[in-house]
Amino acid sequence: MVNTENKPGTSIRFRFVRVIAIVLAIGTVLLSVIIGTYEKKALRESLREDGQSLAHFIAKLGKEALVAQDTVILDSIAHDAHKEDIAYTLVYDIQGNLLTSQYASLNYRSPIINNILATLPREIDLPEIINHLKRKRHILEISSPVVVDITHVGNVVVGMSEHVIRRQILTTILFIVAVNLSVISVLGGVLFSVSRKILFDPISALSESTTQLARGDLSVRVNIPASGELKTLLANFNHMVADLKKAEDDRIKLEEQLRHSQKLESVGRLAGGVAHDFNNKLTVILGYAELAGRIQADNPNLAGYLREIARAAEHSRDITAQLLAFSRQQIASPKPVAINQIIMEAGKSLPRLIGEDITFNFVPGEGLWIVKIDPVQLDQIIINLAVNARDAMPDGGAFSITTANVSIDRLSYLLKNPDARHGDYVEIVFSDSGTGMDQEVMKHIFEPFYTTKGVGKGTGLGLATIYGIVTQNNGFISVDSKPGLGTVFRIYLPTHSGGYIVEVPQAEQNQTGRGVVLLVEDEEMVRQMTGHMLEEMGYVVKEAATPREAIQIASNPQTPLDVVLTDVVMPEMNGAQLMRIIHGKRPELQVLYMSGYTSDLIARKGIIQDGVNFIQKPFDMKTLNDKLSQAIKLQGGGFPGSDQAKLLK
Amino acid sequence: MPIAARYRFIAVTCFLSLIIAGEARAEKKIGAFLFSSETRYEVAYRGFRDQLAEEGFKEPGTTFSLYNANGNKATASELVNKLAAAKMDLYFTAGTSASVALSRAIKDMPIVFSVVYDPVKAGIADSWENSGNNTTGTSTRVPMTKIMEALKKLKNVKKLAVLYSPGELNSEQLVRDLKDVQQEFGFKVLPVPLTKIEEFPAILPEVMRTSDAVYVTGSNLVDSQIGYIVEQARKNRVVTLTHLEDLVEKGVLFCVSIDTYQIGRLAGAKAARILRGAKPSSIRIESPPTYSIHLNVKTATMSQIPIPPEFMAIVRKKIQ
Repeated sequence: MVNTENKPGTSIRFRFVRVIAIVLAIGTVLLSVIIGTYEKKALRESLREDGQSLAHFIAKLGKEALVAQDTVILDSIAHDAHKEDIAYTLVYDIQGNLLTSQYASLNYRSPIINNILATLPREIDLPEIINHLKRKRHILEISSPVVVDITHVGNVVVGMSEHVIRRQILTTILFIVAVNLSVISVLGGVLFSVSRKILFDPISALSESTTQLARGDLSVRVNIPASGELKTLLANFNHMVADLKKAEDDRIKLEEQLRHSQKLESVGRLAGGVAHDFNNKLTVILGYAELAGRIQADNPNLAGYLREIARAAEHSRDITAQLLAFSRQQIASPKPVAINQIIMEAGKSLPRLIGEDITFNFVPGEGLWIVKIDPVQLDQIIINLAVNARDAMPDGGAFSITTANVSIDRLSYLLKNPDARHGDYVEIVFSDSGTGMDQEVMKHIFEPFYTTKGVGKGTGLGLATIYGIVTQNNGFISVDSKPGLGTVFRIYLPTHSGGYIVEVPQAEQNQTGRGVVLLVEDEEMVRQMTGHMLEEMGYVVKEAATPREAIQIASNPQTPLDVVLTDVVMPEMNGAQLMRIIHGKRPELQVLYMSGYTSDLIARKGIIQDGVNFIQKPFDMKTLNDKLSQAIKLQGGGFPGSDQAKLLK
Repeated sequence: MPIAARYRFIAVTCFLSLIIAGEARAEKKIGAFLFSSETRYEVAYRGFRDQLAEEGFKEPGTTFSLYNANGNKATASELVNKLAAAKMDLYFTAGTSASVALSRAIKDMPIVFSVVYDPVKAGIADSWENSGNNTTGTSTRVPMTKIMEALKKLKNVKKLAVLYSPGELNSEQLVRDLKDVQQEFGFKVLPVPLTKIEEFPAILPEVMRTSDAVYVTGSNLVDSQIGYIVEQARKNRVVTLTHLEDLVEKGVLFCVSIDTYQIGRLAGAKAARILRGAKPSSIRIESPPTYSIHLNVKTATMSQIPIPPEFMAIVRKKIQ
């Protein structure tokens, strides 16, 4: 939980003021105590001196009256001596008799006298009042002898009231407090004002900004003058928020891309599912069209119709193939290739494809690393991007392909491209000077059936296919484009550490074959059509509608078999499982898998594993024959089952 | 009667008549000095003039110049100097302060004082019989025993406070007189010295709380606060007494006093003797022989002080 609000009294401003106030209050108290103690001592001493002077003066002034026992004069002297800090003045004769009267002796203007008298009974006499005062009140009593010549004739006693001291100390303390308060007010005001400018305002602004930040506002910035560490802090905060904003923007962008990828993934899965059934049906259509064409070759009209059927079916197959390619489920047989060589080969036919008003330029990178990819897929990429470039440059322009080795190791690059991974790649850059794209278009270009071309001019699968192929081959793709500034596609394909094989083109073969084929296919129409094809080509066919039936056939050692042609996805068990059982009994038996789409059963992410024979549905007789022939050759360099085939035939 | 004897008789008679007429007709200047406008001073001055007039010393043959200091000491000092310079034939004073001041300033001309409580203790005269200087006069002094006897008839007092002003000799002497009789009458005198007005509110409540009766002396300061004194006494039901009749009219419960007018007349008689050639020192200082008791009935009522019949019997004047 984010604490976004300060409770009253918890702000640093308030606490600062409180601490200052407490420190000053303690300081004031200590100062008051220290000064009060010293002042009390000094005032007591001063009071004592005053008392002594007064007692001495009264003794001197009243000695004649004392000798004459004139109490009226003594009363007058005692009374006249009264000042505020005197509680009483007493004159005694040498015998200790008190000569002054109560009202003359007591200073009724002293608050302590009136206070104490109010509590005493009216009958109480002066000596008792004096004793009471000395017991209850702070009285400093000073005595001075009355001496006439050298004769001691009596004593003057002066009672000094310490309440004056207390009041003086209180006044001093009040003065200290007042001065301190004034100083505190002035200094505190200045300190607070200065602190507010250099400390509190930046901290408050920072606090408010962090609150806004905690609430998710990444646009917040602290724009307040500061200096020293606070300046650095605020600058770092702003920088941090800017980084957060950038990271947040990147995250949003990545999420967008992730959603886009997931969307493509789901579309791909849907396409894969559709393609399975669709290719089975196309296999039957194409197969029978081809077979029918063989039979009715002499009827030109019928042959034409059959060719149209075949063309339509082939076109449908291509669409399915592209869908599969986009969904990374196209059956591919990657091999180590030299990219430059393939581009160069493909480049020969590109001028025809893109037209004469577009100049094509290929800049091959030197020492280019080897890449493992199905060359057919690479051709698809080149052709699709060339066609796109052409369509983007209706009035001509330039189209170029460059290749280079790159090592992806920068985090920033990886963050921008969610598909990217660390590693070494061959970069193939396709640049055109065409119309370019805006951001909205770029968001959708890899979606299947998304096209900006006119109706009938594009399937909307070109870039989706490229995307599928690249990701199927563990690569990734990026696009840079702006309206009017052309488009650059960068395709990154991971390098292959091994060498590559230069393929020798095979001699044209007849569409005839020999051998016994165990055909395993749960789709009856496909099975029947394939059986017809095989027989038409000269093969002996043993059909099995289910894997169980196939096992039964293969289990009989008397049954001659050269190769197993089996569907991959079947009820009960898949093709691979079937072959493990059959190989348990007849390990020498070769197998050719056929499937309308790939699955992890025989391929991982659509890539056929090395040593696996596979034929993509739908297929024509020639391809089927080629694949079967290769498989049978692998079994023993000839047609080991030919005798049995003949027998069966 | 033979003619010669007849002419001689006529001549002598005429001569004597001329002497008497000349004496009466001779212009006399009398300067009167009052310290303040206290009633008793003015009453005394009136008695003085009336007596002189009866004895033939009246305007226009005799001129009177009245100087009143209105209670101000500085003014008093100024007036004293003025009077000394004026060279009067005779000076009249009322009140101890005025008398002391003038007697100290003028030594060569006769001074007749009045309303002085104790001229000897005040330092004006050497003795009551013979002043020993240029002064003589009359006193307000009532024998203290007379006052205390009256008080005893009114209330049995144990503590008697005396409001006085230190420095005012008249006031101080009264305290001594009271102390002299305290043992005889069985009470204790509590002198209350008062020198400043602000002392009254500080001390009087406590005085009233602790005393049975309060004696009000005739000092100028005490006179100025008589209203407050009366108020506190009434509030605390305390008996107040004095020897000055004008203070009873201002609220003091009772007084045993000499008629101030008679004091003035007696002073006038002494002045006439001096004007006729007598030496002041040869004229005895004295008080009129009659005393009277005045009671302030209003104060008695307000203080709820019961007045015994034996006291009422001796009261000469009731002030409502």
